Amino acid sequence: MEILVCIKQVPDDSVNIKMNPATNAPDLDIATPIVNAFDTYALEMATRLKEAIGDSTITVVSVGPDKAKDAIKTCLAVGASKGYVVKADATDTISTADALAKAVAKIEEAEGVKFDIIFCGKESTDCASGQVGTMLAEDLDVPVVTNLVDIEKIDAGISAKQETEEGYNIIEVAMPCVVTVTKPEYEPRYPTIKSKMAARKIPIGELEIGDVVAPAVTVVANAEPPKKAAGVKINEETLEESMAMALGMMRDAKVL
Amino acid sequence: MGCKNVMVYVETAESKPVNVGLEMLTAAKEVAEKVTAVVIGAADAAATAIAYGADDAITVDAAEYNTEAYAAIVVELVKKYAPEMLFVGATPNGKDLGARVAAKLKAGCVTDVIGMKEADGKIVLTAPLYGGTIYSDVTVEGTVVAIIRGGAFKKAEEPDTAKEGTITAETVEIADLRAKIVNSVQEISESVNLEEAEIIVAGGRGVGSAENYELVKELASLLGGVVGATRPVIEEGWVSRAHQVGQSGKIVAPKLYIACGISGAAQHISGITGSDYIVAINKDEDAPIFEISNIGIVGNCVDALKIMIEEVKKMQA
Amino acid sequence: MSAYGKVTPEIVEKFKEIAPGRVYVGEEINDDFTHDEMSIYGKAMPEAVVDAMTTEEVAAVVKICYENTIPVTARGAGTGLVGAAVPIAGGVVIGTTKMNKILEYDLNNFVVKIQPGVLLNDLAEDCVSRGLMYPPDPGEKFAAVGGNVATNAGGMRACKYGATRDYVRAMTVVLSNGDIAHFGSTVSKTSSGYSLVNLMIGSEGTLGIITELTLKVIPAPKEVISLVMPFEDLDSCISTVPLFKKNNLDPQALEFMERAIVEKSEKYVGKAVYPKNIDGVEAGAYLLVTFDGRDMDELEEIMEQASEIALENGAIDVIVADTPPKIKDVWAARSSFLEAIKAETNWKDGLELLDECDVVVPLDKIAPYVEYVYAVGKKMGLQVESFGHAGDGNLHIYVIGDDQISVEDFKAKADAFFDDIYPEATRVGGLVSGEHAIGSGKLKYLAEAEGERNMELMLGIKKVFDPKMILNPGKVCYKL
Repeated sequence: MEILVCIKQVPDDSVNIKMNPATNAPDLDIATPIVNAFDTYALEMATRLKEAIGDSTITVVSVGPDKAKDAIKTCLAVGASKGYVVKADATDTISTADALAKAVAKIEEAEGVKFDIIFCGKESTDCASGQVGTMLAEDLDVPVVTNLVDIEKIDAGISAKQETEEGYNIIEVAMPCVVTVTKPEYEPRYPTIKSKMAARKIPIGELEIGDVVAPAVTVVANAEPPKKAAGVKINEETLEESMAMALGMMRDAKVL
Repeated sequence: MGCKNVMVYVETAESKPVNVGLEMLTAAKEVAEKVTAVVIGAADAAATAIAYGADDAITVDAAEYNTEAYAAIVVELVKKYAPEMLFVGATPNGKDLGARVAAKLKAGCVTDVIGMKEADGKIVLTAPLYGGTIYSDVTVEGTVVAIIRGGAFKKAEEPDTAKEGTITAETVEIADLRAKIVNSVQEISESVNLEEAEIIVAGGRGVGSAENYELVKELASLLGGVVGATRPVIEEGWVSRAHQVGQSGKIVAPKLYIACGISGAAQHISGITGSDYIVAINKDEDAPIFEISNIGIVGNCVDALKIMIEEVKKMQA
Repeated sequence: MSAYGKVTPEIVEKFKEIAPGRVYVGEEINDDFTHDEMSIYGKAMPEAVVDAMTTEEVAAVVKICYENTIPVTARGAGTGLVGAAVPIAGGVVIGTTKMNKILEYDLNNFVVKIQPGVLLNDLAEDCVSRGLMYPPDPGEKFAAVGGNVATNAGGMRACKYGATRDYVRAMTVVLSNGDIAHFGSTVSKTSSGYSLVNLMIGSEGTLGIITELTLKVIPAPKEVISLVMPFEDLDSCISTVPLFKKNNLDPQALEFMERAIVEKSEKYVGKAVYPKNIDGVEAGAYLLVTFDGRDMDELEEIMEQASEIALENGAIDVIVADTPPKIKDVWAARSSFLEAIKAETNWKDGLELLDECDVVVPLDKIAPYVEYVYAVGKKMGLQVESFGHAGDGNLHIYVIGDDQISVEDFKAKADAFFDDIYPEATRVGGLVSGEHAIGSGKLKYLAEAEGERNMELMLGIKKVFDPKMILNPGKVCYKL
């Protein structure tokens, strides 16, 4: 089976991004670029599927700058065996999906393969729009199943376990298809020294895909959220005193 | 008015509009001359939508929710009625639907819209980035699909049941579905309505154990509120994920939010800033949660919960 | 003890003139001031607490105590583990938590000047935001740096960068008579007489009270990578440790841990990242190694060499944490050992049934010593947990009381346990404390290990600095 995993390099989401007053833009330098967490789940799920069915290849693709090669390199050490970076003027979701769709065609042509399943994270931790996977499926005119927590190969294609608000759906879909992945019950694996060394030797392809559709969404301004004025902090000698004070204030504010 | 016509897809649950569906009508009224509500598979909800602000409504008969089918319906309606903007609520299904419709229409799509304003004749949408640490203002060329975050706008306080509006029934032919739901399993039987809760008592890792979490539940039940939780608590399995509050859970806007043992990661804070009154209890004096709390109590949250439970019992006695 | 004076109402009034609104007596004193993180060494209520804000305030308070022979105990964030900040002779506690300002950086000389109540975490983060690193990295990030200096705290990075002592250039100290003295200078070397600065470091408030510090900082390393190396058993795990240095590799941190405590801690953290079974081989112990470097290329080379050494020496595999979230996760398990242990500890009569030691032994003695310790624990029917800084032979050994045992029984058993394992540490060439210091809890063991003559030398030094024996009595070398 031919599997493609689409990934995005994002700033480490455990770091709180602030505005840089000098540039009036979000200061991304303070956070190390890493692979979007949901994409790491997608890659892990793809890798487990590959291990379950055997005889499969996982390719990773990212629309992004040269530095996105670092992100692809990490993926090559934990399950993927080929990687491509796509340079495109894609700043919103429809242009990104278009770039990915064109990249899919290019890779299929270059490698002489057809992708059976395309994995995406359900959303990126930076923009969290959750649109690209669905839009990519639309552009490729293939079905899409979102918010997967598990996947299984069946005769008719795949059986996907989709997380819902109250539980889960089992959805069957024919291949080729796109799936988007949310946090499964397991953690993505760590590279081992062997897999990391092997990954270093794999060249990362650069794809030229020509023009993509013009972005429709334009950012006009960024700002830090208005600070909610902090109220009072109570730290009395004993917790009993603190609580008495707090409960009094809550009563005065008529929230109790 | 920034635009002439806004179409609002009002999602329903058990034939009733979900909260965000009604909240969006308020937002739509502010920017549009005419607001058209769309309800699918729950015709009775059309009247409610009109009472809450829609000028008129379109109903379409359909089976249970399926993104492929519902998106096809909405796309047909957008093509026919040509609204300048389509509003969809940012529920899990709404996010899927909005993206699918935008993809089919090749329209610009903005997720988690929390604000809207007009500038230079254009509608500017505000959405959070980087886990809610940055708010981004964007404009969109052409048809706009805005996926609107629950709690960002307030629904009309009193529905105007006398208000009149045209309800049009449309039929849309659905092609064969490519992804088939073969089984739908309900693991979480409790109904947890965090979005509409007036009081939420939420716990984080600091609560310490499933056993201690019972205290969170007890206080919530005493106050007639709903139990909330942070992501680590869900991962610990202390409560079901229906209780998750924050970026990857529910966005809430209660009158009172009591945060126990929650340090306040950006992703959690971004889900509770709409709360009117936040009370936080944390043993770490420097916990970020205190920065957004009306009252911050420095101390052991388990002991604090016990005291609060006793006090509330006394008050109610 | 009867020789000490009492804090009279008149003296309290004087304190209030010195530090208005920041003097507490009797009921006003928070229970926190009666103990540190190890309540097992006993609690003691001070007669008065003064939250000082300046060197001058500290000096004025100490001067009054000197005149009235009242004990004075300095206290930072109270995160100590040997009872050093507990006022066992009563008297006055001077709190430094309000002296929490980072005063200035001097980047020509790579030093930062701070007040002693600055929390380690705040200093570390402030340095990082300026592209700098303050290398000492004790486990408790919410300790006051003044306390770190007073105990010569070590931490994970001591392996490459050394302990707190190596980063203290100068300090302002209030002496026992209330005089204000300055020791050391910003310069990086000295051959100028006895090192008063070094005498103060690790003296636990028994020679003077530190009120300002000038600390060395370094440019932050650009890239960091952590490796988890699972081994079948502790022996092969520990025997790998010296090989890194022998091969000219210089890990920033090098920790060993046994499987049982890793599992306990992962359960506590709620995330399991350490491999337990690798291709059918069960892991029994792990090394967690962190390297830092100028760029990824340099680091990858180091990583490759280090892995080769480990694999040749019996590592089952080498797992790489190469992104900040992964590094955070592999270290979260290690950093949570104490919390994980504490989560299981039983409390009785307001005391936590937990005792510990942090002996340091030669590298090649780690494995046999740990084995010895477990055997003693087993013989005495005590639950023992251990982990440690493999890179410098510093072991943390905890004994935990179950819910059956009484406080008295637990104390007796723990004493018997330590009476056995401390002499063994000394016998194999080790020392009583690697980084937690002596306080009151370890005084007896220090005396046994050092012998009479050494203890007399220490006491002699104490008398020069503190002739009236008012500075933190009952600690380090001066038994009450």
